[in-house]
Amino acid sequence: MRFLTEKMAMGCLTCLAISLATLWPALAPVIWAEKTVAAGPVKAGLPSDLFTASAPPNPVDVGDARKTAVEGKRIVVRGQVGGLSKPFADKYAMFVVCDKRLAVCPKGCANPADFCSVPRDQLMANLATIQVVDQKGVPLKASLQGMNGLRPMSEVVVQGTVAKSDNNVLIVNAENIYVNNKIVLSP
Amino acid sequence: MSAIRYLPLVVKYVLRYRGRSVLTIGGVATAMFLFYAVQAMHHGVQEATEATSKDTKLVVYRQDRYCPFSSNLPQDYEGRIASIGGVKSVLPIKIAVNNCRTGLDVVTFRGIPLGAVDNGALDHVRFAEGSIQNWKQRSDAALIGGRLAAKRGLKVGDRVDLGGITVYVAGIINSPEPQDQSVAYSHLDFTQRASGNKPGLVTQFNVAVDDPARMDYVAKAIDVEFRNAQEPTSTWSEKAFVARAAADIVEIVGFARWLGWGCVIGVFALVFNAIVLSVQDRIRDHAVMQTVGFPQRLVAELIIGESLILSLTGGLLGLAAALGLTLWGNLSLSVEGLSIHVQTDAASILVGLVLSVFTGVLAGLVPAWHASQREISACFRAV
Amino acid sequence: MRILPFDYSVRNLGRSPKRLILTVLAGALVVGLVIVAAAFVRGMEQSLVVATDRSNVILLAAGSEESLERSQIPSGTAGLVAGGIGGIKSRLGVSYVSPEVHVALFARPEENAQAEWRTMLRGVTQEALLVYPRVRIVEGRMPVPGKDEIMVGSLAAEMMAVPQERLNVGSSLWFANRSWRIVGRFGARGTVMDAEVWVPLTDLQIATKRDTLSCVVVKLGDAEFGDIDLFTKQRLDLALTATPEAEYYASVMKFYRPVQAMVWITALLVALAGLLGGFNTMFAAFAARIREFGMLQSLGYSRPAIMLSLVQESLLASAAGTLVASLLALIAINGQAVRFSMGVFELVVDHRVLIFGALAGLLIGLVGVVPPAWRCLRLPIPEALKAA
Repeated sequence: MRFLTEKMAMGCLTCLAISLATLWPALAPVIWAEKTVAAGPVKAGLPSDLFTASAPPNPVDVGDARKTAVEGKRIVVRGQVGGLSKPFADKYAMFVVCDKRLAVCPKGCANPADFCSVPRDQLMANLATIQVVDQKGVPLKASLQGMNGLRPMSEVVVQGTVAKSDNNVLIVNAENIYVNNKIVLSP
Repeated sequence: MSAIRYLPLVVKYVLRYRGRSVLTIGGVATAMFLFYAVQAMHHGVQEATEATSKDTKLVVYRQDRYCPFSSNLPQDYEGRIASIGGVKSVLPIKIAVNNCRTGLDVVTFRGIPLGAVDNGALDHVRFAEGSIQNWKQRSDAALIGGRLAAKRGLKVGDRVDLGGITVYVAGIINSPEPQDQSVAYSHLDFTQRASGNKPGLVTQFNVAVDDPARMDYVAKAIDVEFRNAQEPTSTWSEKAFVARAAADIVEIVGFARWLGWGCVIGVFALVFNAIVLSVQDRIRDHAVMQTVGFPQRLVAELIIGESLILSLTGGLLGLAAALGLTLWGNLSLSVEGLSIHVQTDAASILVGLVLSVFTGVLAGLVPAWHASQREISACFRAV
Repeated sequence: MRILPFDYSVRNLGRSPKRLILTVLAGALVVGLVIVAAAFVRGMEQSLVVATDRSNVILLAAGSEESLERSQIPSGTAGLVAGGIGGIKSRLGVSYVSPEVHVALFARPEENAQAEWRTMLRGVTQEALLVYPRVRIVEGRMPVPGKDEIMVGSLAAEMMAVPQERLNVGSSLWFANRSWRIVGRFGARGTVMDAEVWVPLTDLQIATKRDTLSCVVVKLGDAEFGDIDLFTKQRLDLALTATPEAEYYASVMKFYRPVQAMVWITALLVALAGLLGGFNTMFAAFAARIREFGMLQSLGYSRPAIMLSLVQESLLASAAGTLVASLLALIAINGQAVRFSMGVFELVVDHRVLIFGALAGLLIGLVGVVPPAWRCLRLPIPEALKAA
């Protein structure tokens, strides 16, 4: 009887251990929170001369460009990457710039790039979208974030063609982008 | 023979079984810390929700709404409310909050008009730093409640992002009103713009009445005034308003109080267990003491004394930990832009200490009585 | 190493039945508390993270990313999105695009009733059923616009703190100055929608006097999140931001982390208090067996072997307590609805929670025995044999 008791108890413990060991590979990633790893940008088909070493001449600030830009005409616009909490498009060659004369968020701001201290109406009137497109005018599938030092709050000068300009939006198809790596407008 | 003379002996008993005493005191301290923490939350709920005879404030809210995002009253209601009999003053407030949900890290803005400040809307606050003139000079200025400032380490002159709204800290204020401690008072039009709302809309009106006894009458009169308006109102006393908004928290804290009382029972069990073991180990000692002339009563008192020391020491440690948490932690539960502060009060501290003493004495009673009743020869035989 | 027989540990447990029962009950209490805390956290996680649809993207107002209730976007956004973004899932010409209004307000049983019931309303169109496949109509039908009809979720009664029968199909609620008849009930188990009341979108907009939406929810087909994001950046005038539904609810979950931490800390503090008390009992119990340990050592069993036997004893007792706690949790706690902060979720006692409880029980069994046992085994054999 004692033999049976001992063996049954050992058997139960062994079963429990085996079950845990078998289930563990399935359970371990489930028990600890999964972290979704974003896929890295896919760099495909960006023009080799997209980024320039010097700024194109006679840039216009974004706020002024919003008033004067004409669809189809060439333009050189100057601004800083920001105006949204995530100014770079996910996986597309596009980012949003705002007029560099706008007030920068103070220290301690969770995300200075969203320019949350600027009244919304004023912010909307000073934003533009910069995109790099293919022959058909479709934005290329390659994120620009990090390329040539381009990141939120970077000062940029963009030369290109006005794709759309009205009271609500300004979209520029960029041919050349200059990133002023000496200046990153931070609080 | 007075038992007090033998206090050093009792202390020696406690120290003799150091490990056991440390474990018991640790357990009692943990349980009493929980007790004080629950009492602190309960005090916060009471302070925020229970009306007193000194209350004179009403809150006029959009009818059937319970989140600041959904209450939008026309600002021009102010004049109509002010003309109702019994109303002393009306303060339109635009509430901007980053989240309506219950949380520990919510920032609430109260946008108030400049004119209201000139009419004494903030007369009840005291400035720890800064000034009202400082606040008036900038449209993005804010007066930060003391608790919020302490929590975020803010000082006058800082420009800071709070809950998505960037403000200039023009002053740090303290106020007898619980809700003022965790909010930021900003300019009304600034808050309206920051919330993305059209100007001319406010979340609520805070109404002061001239006679507290007429609060219900004035509240009804206000609701009747706007019954058929585009935005009908519901008017509550401020405490009732908070109680309504924080109903879930009030319920949870009420439930948690049972946990607090359970902790007191746990303290009793811990100390009782420790004393029983201690008495068992000292059977021979007690026999010797009675042999040399210690009366049975004194033996019992020494055991109760030991029990009291364990319980009181643990209780004091638990109290110190709870005080540290509430004083330095500056904890507040926020819901729908309203705050419930977690803070210990003198009454809770006194109750806790009395309970520590009481449970200590109670836990030692039975073992003490048994030990004192045992015959000397039985004690020596038991060893 | 020669180890003691397993049934030696088993028989030792039976030496003092009273102590065994107390130990099992104490272990059950502590593990039970840990399971309740884990069930609370898991239930919250389940409704906010696990049950969200990973192919849905929410378009809401820029700056309102923390709270849908705060968001206001133009009414025509849904049409612009459906027409402007390729690759959105569609079927028989109908795009899986759901324009929505989220409003929190108090409902009443009838017009002049004093009772107020906290309600989360969602104004929807028929497309909502396409975008949220977890939603199933369990009784009645979808409400029709223009007829003051509504549909309630299966946990809406818990949200309002009313009996389930009060929200039967055919009964009515009063809010926004009119009576609304319940024509259907839906289930969306484990999601935040389960506690909501669904209203035809246009009816809710009219009733709450708003011409804006809270959000537009889109189900991805061939399109990726990047395509939706691209649209928001090309149409800055709409002031939209796109966020995967999973990410939105994860941020809500993150908001609740301090509250969850409080729940955990409370449970662990109670467990700690119990453990400290248990140490004393263990010390006393082993102190009474010092001579026995001395005897075993003189028979040739090493200290590690005796320690192993004591650990087996403790683990058996705590395992029994864990079993009791787990059974009680499955019977009494699993599925209980908890109303908390603008929503309702069910306590979840699933495999994760039970394994966590089992691990807690194991830890208590181990930690509770090693220090007292070590203390008692330290003595040299002659001293141990002489111990009283």
